[in-house]
Amino acid sequence: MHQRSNINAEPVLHIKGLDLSYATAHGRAAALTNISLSLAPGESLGLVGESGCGKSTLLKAIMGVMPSNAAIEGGQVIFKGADLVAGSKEAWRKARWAGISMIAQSALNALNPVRRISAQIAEAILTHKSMPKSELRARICHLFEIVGVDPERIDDYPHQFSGGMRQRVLIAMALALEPSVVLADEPTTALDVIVQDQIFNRLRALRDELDFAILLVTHDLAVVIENCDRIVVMYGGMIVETGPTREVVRAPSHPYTLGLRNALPRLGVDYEPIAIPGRPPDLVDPAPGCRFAARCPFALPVCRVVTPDLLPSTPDRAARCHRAGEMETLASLAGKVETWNRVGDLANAP
Amino acid sequence: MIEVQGLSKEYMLATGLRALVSGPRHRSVKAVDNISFAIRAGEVLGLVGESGSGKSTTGKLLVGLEEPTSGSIMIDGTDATSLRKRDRKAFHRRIQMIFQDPYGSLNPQHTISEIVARPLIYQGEGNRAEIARRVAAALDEVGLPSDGNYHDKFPHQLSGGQRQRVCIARAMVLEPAFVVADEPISMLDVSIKWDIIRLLKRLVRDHGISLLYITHDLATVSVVCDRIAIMYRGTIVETGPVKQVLATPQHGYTRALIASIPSADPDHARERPPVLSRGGQ
Ligand SMILES: Nc1ncnc2c1ncn2[C@@H]1O[C@H](COP(=O)(O)OP(=O)(O)OP(=O)(O)O)[C@@H](O)[C@H]1O
Ligand SMILES: Nc1ncnc2c1ncn2[C@@H]1O[C@H](COP(=O)(O)OP(=O)(O)OP(=O)(O)O)[C@@H](O)[C@H]1O
Ligand code: SF4
Ligand SMILES: [Mg+2]
Ligand SMILES: [Mg+2]
Repeated sequence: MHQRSNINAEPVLHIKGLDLSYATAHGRAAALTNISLSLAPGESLGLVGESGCGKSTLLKAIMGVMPSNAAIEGGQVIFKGADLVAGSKEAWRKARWAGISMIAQSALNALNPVRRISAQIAEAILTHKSMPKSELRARICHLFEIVGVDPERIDDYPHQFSGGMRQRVLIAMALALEPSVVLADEPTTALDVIVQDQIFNRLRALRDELDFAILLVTHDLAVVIENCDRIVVMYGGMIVETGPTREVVRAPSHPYTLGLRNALPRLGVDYEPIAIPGRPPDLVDPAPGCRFAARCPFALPVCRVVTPDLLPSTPDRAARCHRAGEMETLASLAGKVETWNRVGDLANAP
Repeated sequence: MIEVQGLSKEYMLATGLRALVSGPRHRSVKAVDNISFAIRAGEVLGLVGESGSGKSTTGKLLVGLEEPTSGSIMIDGTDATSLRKRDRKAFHRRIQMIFQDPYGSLNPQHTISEIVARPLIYQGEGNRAEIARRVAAALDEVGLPSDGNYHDKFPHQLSGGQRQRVCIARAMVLEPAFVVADEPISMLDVSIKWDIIRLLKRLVRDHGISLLYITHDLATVSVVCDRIAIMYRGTIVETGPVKQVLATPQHGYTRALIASIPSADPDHARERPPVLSRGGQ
């Protein structure tokens, strides 16, 4: 979904300083801290980061479908100029699906098991739009064609579909009302690469036609490289780096991104990917300073005291690291496995 | 050692009134169509293929969650169906499955440690302290240590990747002899993914597990598997040592699959193949 962003256009979605926490048995967990990002019409933005870093939390917050123990502590979700957080529940409900749709990570489990798939898609459409029955069926068949499932099977029950087929139904549902923003949370985890490729091709064609923006969460950096203009990297509930995808992957500005790149497998070569040792940070009682410090091979004493700001380096790139300026030197060290193995010893040192 | 001979599974689709209305077409789906393979102890067979080609169905047949329409499954020389009928508990002691959907396969009413303890309690393995110790060890191995406050959380309080790791811990806690892992790491990011892969490999090697590894992730296949089988529309179209199949694919579908892997190199885009296929045939 490249070569096609009107970054200069008024953003269709703008998140500003979003803070969200979960109430847990051990206290409030700061799942999102000061998240800001914007999406231009027709743009595709990739969102990557470790398991548990807050990607799904962010998407649910944008949709306004947080679990009951979640609280937005501050910030704005501005959709087409209006702040949904400050506005009425009704306004948020109206924006949901018709304006902003979501392909949930739980797609394989999201359909009602006792209702035919056609009925479920029909209901989703009819809640927002009236349509004669025949047109509705034709529309559902068309949506099945888009995602590559045999339209003859629209009247099946969810359990009669394979994992990937169910996931594609959810993609179809997210497109059903022609929204302005599609939030896609790992939309292709159950798809083979051929179908994945086709879906992204079709999404790209559709996006060009309808001009919707996509926020794509994936753990597959290659998918972001091929499909997203810009990338946002999250760590421990914060954005640590953002910029044009290819530039960020080529020359990361944050040690976590360097580690992420190292862990990429290389098909056909005997390359043992380098993992980032250690565990994600405690969000209930986060240690002061940089959230990555306990795992960062380049941490300085200052890193454990002062939380770095997300600072721009060029007009379209930014990173949250005290050593962002030295990244070229650090990058060459980051390619060696010893660099990362040392971290545990350092972290345990007094 | 597990041996599968001529295994098939056919599902009836529209039934009742709907079948009368929609006519004689579209009656049944041959989800698995006459497949054969074997997995030795300590070996990993990768099952890769089209979405809707019958991979999960194959896995469910092996663990006894579906009855085959025809064909046989032998476990160490004994017929799996009769083994299961004779002693259900012993059967499940030896065979475990990690399900494709980590959202639908964890009981929402139980905490994470209860979920992982359950197979041990069901099998009557060890006293409470022993069970608690094994549960903690299993969760620790998948990167959910007790000091991370995960153990007393409920599934809905976990992220997708965290749930997947709970599923892995639950399947592995009994140290079974045979494991079907259906997309076990599809929601894990690269760094934790390789940790889990190493864990799986170690368990296979140390305990002589036979592992059927179902996946769409061709990058991990070459690291995890000894051999792979490529499935397409219910049949196995190609099988062989993993490196050989990936380096010199024989079947057109395998070639298309390899050509469709997205490129992780920002400077070298691959050529996107113009393939068309449709799932759910
Ligand atoms: N309802 C909840 N109550 C308490 N904690 C929660 C809740 N939902 C999620 N969390 C925690 O918040 C953190 C962020 O979860 P989230 O689902 O946003 O992660 P993610 O980035 O989507 O991860 P993944 O890639 O594994 O899906 C995790 O540590 C998770 O355990
Ligand atoms: N219970 C069922 N009733 C009817 N049809 C079914 C049932 N389970 C699976 N099928 C069909 O059998 C075929 C194979 O499904 P299966 O779930 O085995 O595919 P898969 O290879 O695991 O696909 P994916 O990669 O998308 O998970 C599909 O066409 C599916 O619709
Ligand atoms: S601020 Fe310090 S600890 Fe954090 S990523 Fe940069 S160098 Fe590492
Ligand atoms: Mg998630
Ligand atoms: Mg499946």
